[in-house]
Amino acid sequence: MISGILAISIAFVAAAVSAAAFWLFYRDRDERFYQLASRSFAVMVAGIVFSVVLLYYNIFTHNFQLNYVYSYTSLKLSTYYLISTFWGGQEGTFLLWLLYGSVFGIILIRTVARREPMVLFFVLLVQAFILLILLKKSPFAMLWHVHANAPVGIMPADGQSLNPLLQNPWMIIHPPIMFMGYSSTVVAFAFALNAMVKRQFHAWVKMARPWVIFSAMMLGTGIIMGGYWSYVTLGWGGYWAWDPVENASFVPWVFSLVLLHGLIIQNRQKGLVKTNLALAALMFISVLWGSFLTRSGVLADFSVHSFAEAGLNIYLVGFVALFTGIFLFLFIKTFKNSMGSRFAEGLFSRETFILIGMLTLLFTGTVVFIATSSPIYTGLFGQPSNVSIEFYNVISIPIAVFLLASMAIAPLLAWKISEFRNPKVVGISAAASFFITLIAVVLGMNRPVSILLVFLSFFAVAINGYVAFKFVRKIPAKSGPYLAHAGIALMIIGIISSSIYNRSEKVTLPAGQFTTTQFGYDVQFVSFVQSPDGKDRVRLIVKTPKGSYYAEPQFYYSEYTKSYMLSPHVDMDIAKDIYISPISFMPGSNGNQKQVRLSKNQQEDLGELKMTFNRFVTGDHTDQAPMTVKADLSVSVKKGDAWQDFNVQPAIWMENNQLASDEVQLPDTDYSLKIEALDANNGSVTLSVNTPLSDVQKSPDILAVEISEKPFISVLWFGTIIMILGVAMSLYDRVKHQHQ
Amino acid sequence: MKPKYIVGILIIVVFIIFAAINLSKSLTPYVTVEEARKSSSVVQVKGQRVPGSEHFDVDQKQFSFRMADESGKEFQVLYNGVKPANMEQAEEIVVIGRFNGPQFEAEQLLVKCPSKYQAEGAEI
Repeated sequence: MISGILAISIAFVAAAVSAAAFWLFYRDRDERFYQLASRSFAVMVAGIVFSVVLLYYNIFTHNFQLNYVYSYTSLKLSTYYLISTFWGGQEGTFLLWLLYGSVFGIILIRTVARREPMVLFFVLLVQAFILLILLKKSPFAMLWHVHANAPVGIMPADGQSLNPLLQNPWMIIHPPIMFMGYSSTVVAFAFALNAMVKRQFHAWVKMARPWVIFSAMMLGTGIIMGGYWSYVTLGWGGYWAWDPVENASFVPWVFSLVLLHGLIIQNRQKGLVKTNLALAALMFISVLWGSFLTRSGVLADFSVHSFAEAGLNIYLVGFVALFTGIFLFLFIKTFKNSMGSRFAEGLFSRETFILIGMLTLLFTGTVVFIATSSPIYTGLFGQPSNVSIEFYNVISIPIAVFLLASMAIAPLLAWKISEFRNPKVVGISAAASFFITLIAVVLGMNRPVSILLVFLSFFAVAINGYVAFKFVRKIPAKSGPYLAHAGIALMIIGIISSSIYNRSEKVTLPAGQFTTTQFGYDVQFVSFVQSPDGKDRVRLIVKTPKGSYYAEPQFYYSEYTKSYMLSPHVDMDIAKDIYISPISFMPGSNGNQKQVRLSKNQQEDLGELKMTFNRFVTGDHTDQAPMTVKADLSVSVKKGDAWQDFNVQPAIWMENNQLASDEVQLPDTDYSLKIEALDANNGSVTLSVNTPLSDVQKSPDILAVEISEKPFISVLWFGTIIMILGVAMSLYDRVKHQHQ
Repeated sequence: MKPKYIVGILIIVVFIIFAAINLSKSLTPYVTVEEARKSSSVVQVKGQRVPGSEHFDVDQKQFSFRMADESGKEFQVLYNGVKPANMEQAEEIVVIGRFNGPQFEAEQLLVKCPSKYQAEGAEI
């Protein structure tokens, strides 16, 4: 689509011109350059907005000639999901990134551009680079540009639609929030680079702080929404799997938190100057690195997320290298000048504990970063290896201990000097936390590690909650950071209780009758329930001690994936969630014939009849004679109380180009066997077993489900809300006091 | 140097060693079936499922299937979890776990589905 490609090309040129003009304005302070810069910026924004509108126009008018529209949308998608197809593919997410970059740029132009034109220069450099990528991989490519064998001008009747897993309300808001977080990290990075260019190492702190809080808030919110989506949609029972795509969002978030705290210390004590510059770079470069890992296909073998090899590797690596290079160049050049002051005189000062928290987070981010990238560097020396989930689970324990300890202790300490405050509050909090932890132990929490972590978490909640409460009455906005910390401690409690004390069982449910499970639920599989959107459900009745309810997890055949899709039913409660996932559906048999598939030496138990497939017997044959294969079977049949053994060899052969087989009657019984099919590839045989009519019992349909109990997972979601609220309050506080 | 810094550096060093040891321990390489049989640690094997071999054992409540690794050697996989939704469509399966006797007990099952870009040409 030529107009779209043109718009992106114009935007690219405009971004480059604007960047150059901002640089010239910085050098010469000539007003004409500023005018040129801001006008070119406006052209770039216009080009990007035009592209966004154009793509949406094509999505909504179902112009399947466009490869993007064909690949991700279809006629039957509802309006909401059509909106979300915009970020269903890589090209769309880059466009989204550019749109956010434009919005941030506008805000920067209205606030700091005149004083700090180089900030805009760096932001525009990033914009230009993404535009370049979109020229390479255009959202406006026609089908016949992408697929060599598609005839020019073809208009498919329908598109390939959006993956049904992404057709979920959470997937409408999760990606845009995530990308808002990703794209916003450029601002703090640009401020840091600008600080080095100007050799003013403190002025950027105040300006960058609200942006860093914003990045942290958006990344955190996005990550948690993704986890929640995974929990309520995917049916594997969890919200976090340390998957590369998840880690690629986790690492920048963690670095944004480190930077956030570093800036607090620099703002107060003029220390950590170099650290903060490096952290701003680390945060931004980890975003770039993450998008390289997840978009380039290098991790395709190591993730359940699907990656399309997009041929962008060289661009993405160039992207990472360019900005790392710019940072290192400026960092080294100004290394001698950027000395900070010494700070944190006392051992038990607040700075010390913030620093401990920062180090812990820095360690966390770095380790996850290194572990996620492991297939790349292990691939250099041999077999590419990735890191098992166990690794992340092991290292997160000491990390949690240090984080909780620093979060609990820091609010009690004074800045700069070593002085304990409020011994009474500490005493009461510790006693209360001890008491609550004791209750948890009585309820069954038994591992020492969980006991320690839960105690520390409650302690951190109590201390931060107390300080937050004190502020709420005086200066409400100042309670934000404490609320955020209390929220994180609550989240840790929820994570521990719902993962370590998660228990699950698998049950098979014959249709129409109640089955009592080990956990003491009575569950009945009622029937399939049709759904107008094609996502059929299975209806279960679940009787718990507290009452009964219908559970309707999704279980349907998807044309898109050509397979069965499932989604759990989650019965949410404060004390525990009951999580039910379908596993398998086995249609019952209502005839007297049963098909059995046996591999070599496999035994099949049909109740009154047991049989084992020993081997295939192939007789001597010439080319003229039909080839006959016999299956040698050992069969035992129950007669009264005794078992009678047989050895039989039913045969199968080719006759007039068709398979024929004989039916073998077991002597003195009513059973007979017949070969239905052979599979030479894996050496298995499929038999049909005719059972005596007197034994005919209709076997019902059977549904297998997994039932899990997740204690206090509600605390995780509650803590999340508290944390986000706290961060939002500190953002408000920062923006309000920006000019003080 | 102040003792506070020494303690700090010591803790950091301990952390780094801790992480490094655990990292090298939990690296799971891709191996063939033969190597997997010999290995006592967790490995991952890549291959194709044997069509039609998926079986859900109602009594054991376990899902099992046969799989052939890249050299074509077949083996039985036991998976104690929910059968992935897109199993039948998988062009490639990765099992992570270890052999226990004749069976591979998978802790994790990754299913790679064909990229929808591939089959396209024929359909258009």
